[in-house]
Amino acid sequence: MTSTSARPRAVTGPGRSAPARATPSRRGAERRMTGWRLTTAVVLAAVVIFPLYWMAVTALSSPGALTRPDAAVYPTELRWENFTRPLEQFPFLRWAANSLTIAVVSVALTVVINLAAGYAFAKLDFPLKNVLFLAIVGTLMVPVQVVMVAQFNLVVDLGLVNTPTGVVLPRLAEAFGLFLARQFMDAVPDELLEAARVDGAGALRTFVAIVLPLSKPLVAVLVIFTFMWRWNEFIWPLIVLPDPDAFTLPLGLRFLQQQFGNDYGSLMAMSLLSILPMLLVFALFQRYFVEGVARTGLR
Amino acid sequence: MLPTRSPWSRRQFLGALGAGAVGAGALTGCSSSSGGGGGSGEDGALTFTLWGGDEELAAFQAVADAFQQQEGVTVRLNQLPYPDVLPSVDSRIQANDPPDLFRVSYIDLGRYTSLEGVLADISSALPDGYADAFTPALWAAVQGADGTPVGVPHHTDCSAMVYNAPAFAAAGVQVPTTLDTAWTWEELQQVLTEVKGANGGSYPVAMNWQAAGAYRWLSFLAQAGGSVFNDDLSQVTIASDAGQRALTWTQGLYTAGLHDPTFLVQAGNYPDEAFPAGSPLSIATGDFNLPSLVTSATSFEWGATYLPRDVAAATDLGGNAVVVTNGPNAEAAAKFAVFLADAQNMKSFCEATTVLPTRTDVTDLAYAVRPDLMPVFVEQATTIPESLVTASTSPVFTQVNQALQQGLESAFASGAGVDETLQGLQTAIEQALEQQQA
Amino acid sequence: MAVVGAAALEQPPRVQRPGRRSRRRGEALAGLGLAAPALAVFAVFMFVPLVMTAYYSLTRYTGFGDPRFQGVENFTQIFGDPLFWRSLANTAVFTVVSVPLSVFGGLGLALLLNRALPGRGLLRALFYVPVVISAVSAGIIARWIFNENFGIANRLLSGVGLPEVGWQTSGPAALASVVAVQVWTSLGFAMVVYLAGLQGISGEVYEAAALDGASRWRVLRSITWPLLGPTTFFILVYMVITSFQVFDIVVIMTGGGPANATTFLVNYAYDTGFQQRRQGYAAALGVVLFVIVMVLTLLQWRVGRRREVA
Repeated sequence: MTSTSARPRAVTGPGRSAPARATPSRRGAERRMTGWRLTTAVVLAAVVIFPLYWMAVTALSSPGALTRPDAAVYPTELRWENFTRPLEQFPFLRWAANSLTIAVVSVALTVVINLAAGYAFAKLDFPLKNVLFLAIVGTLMVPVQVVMVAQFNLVVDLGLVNTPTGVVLPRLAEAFGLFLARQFMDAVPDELLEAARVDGAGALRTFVAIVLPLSKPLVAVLVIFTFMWRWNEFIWPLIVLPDPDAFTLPLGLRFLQQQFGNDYGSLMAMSLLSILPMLLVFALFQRYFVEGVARTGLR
Repeated sequence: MLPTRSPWSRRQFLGALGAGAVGAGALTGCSSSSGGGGGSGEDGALTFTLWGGDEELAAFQAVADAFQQQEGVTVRLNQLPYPDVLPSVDSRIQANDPPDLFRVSYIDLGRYTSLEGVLADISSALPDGYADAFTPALWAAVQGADGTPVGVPHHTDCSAMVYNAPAFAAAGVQVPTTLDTAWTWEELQQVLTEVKGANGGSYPVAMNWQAAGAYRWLSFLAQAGGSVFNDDLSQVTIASDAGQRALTWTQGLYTAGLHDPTFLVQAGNYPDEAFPAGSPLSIATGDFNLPSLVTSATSFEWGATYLPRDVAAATDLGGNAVVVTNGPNAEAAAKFAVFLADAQNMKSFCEATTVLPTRTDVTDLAYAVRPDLMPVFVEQATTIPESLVTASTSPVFTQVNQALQQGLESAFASGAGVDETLQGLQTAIEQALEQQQA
Repeated sequence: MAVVGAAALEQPPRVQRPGRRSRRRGEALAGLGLAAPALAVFAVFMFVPLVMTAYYSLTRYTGFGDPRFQGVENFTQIFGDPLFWRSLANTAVFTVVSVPLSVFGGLGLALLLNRALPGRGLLRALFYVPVVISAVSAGIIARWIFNENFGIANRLLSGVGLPEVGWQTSGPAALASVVAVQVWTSLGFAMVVYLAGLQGISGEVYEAAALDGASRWRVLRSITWPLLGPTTFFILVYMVITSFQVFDIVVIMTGGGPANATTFLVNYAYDTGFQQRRQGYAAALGVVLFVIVMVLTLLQWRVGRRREVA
């Protein structure tokens, strides 16, 4: 038996109930351990969140205030001009609209494509199925810069430079969604499909009538992750959108960073505005973020 | 496997799918018309890709408005951060959707004027005798591959030194007020040491050779009597005795603790942004920065003096041209370029943004800020070496600039040897020349 | 009944009745039809560019005009290019430092949050927040925090009596600041995956260990860690691939300096392709990178396989 542990945050169990025998001293020790863990967790969380806090403080301060060596660590003023002036001067809302368009369309197309293909690869048999699947999933390993020059030239040839379509289309070829979809579809019980088959339904009808209604968790995960990736994406829009009117938010932010020089207050204010949508989405759909990540890890 | 709680009903789900499909269809429709609203020619409006600070943007907008009044053609200013302007223009040229006009530094101009078919010949828009009003060297710089003008030299500027007056006074330093009494290298070194000592060890100087400004080091090369190329741009002469002298001295500023070590070459960390906070105590900077310095450097007096000299006095060729691309609106764009660089518009632009005119018939400018300091820059501008002007029109000058970024960074940041740095620069530039000529 | 059904889906019986065959064809058509959009998208936007990259890597191409074939010239240049080796070394160092930090940090957090804790959901969410903000925003915040002259990092350091660090002027410090941001944005991801992995370990294993008198540390090392093998492997592969693609935060924070201390492979490839307009060279860089990542992934897979077998 051990009374002390090498590290205060080691645990013995996976979150289920405490050991059966809970003597008073045991319970006391448990509580102390929980107290330690809570304290550590809170401290670490504070450290992790501090940069965001500091961003918010800076967003509300005037440029000179925070650069003095003795400036306070808490907000001392509420300088809303940091928000209003850049919004007037720069087409921030247009950039946000561009980001939104691209994200929404990407989400819709990704869901459609991957649901269909996931089902096909998981449950249907067609020639070259395994080879194709391996080839597609293999591209997970291809870093973006391997193909970015060629993709750019392709987009040029298709006449899609400076358009949202040029941003959306090449990024549909992302194997992660297909990988997830197939795994999910794999787990759909064959009995259901067989029952439909016995009833005379073809593969397509089975898909629409039986599989789709069951796919909501998958759709949720695909929506969340695709939205996040497209909203936050930088390098590909940077390559395909040379025109500042077509910028997405990350490109706009970088533009502002160059323009503002040392006016960190305004820069932080605009950064805060651009991460707010994502924070909102995360707060609302937290469950799916965690679920989606968990699903992929469990194989 | 069945979910316990579903976010949508089946009807909503299919509805969302349908909406997505419609959205995608709409987007494809969008793309077949002009690209993203930035394409030229949708309503006859001209797109003009440029960078600039607040005063410059305002001045360009004023000219655009006047042009609108006069010709009824709108000019849309497409502002991007400086490092992004040329990559954006390049991408759009590659995509066959170039902006109608773009602003480009003389040092980058060579790359475009040597390309066939990219820039448009504007001679038809030039009134008689237009070309004669410009400084010959700069007018030569805007000639395209077939010897016809493809744009206008809009303005020029150069670097001089701006210094913290109380700090220099504390060291008892007399600042030169005429070009012939400008400090020599040795004198400047001495002055800087004294200033450092009298100001509690604060760094006394930082030069403006960051990022795309790396080529400004060539002023020091010219001060030592050297140049990047020989007269006909066929050979690279940077690794000469003058090169050694210049690199040794400038590197020495760092090793002697005089040059602020947080200002190197690669990072976009600019001394003129830090100068208002009181350190460094003097900077090399261009006259185009005066308006922003006036706004930000308000807590102490500051003045301007000349760059140091060695064998000769020299400064860098700054300034930009505005060129016209071979797009559907080339005619109207050419008219705008000509309008932009006519005497009256050039005069008001230069006055508002404290830069120097390229026309010889524009004189007696009433500068908007610090008119007391502009004579220093005007006089310093007379020392722009011919060799630098010719070199900068070379199509490989952009690569020269990039090679300098790498080489100088290792010399200043990592203390790389003078000889090996110069050799590296020599090789890199020779390679670029070879590839260009091949 | 269900078993027979399942078997029937897997392998159609030898005796081919006409209905069966047409159903199989129907299924194949449906399969191809449903997979077609994905296949089309991948074919056009992934496989074609892969081939084109191979082609461009053998040419000199500025983006204007036509590519000029020049054989393996680009590759010879790459191998003689000190900046290539530098960015490769930087990327390797970056990966080797940031990935373990993220992985073990994530594991630690997961262990911390695994048992019931008041406010556990909120805490877990807080750790995950940096994962959902864009790398550009993370870079912008970090640049402000790590600013040598005004940033709060140096202020805090000098506040507790430590020397200030040259985050922009010192190569190792700049690299450290980029690593810090990368870890900050990846911790939450590793934590969540590990949490899921930990949930998958049955309580009986732990109870058996407790009965045997094993110490907490022993349990962690000999039971939990090995059982988390597949999870760890997944996180490792994912993070190695992601860290080879680091780009955004470098562009925002350091621009590749000082003295190329933070120039990584993607930045170098982007610069050559889209700033210097040497697109053939950039494509060749891509090919080299592809080979490297493939080799690394295969190695990891091999190691993972062997561990699982053992």
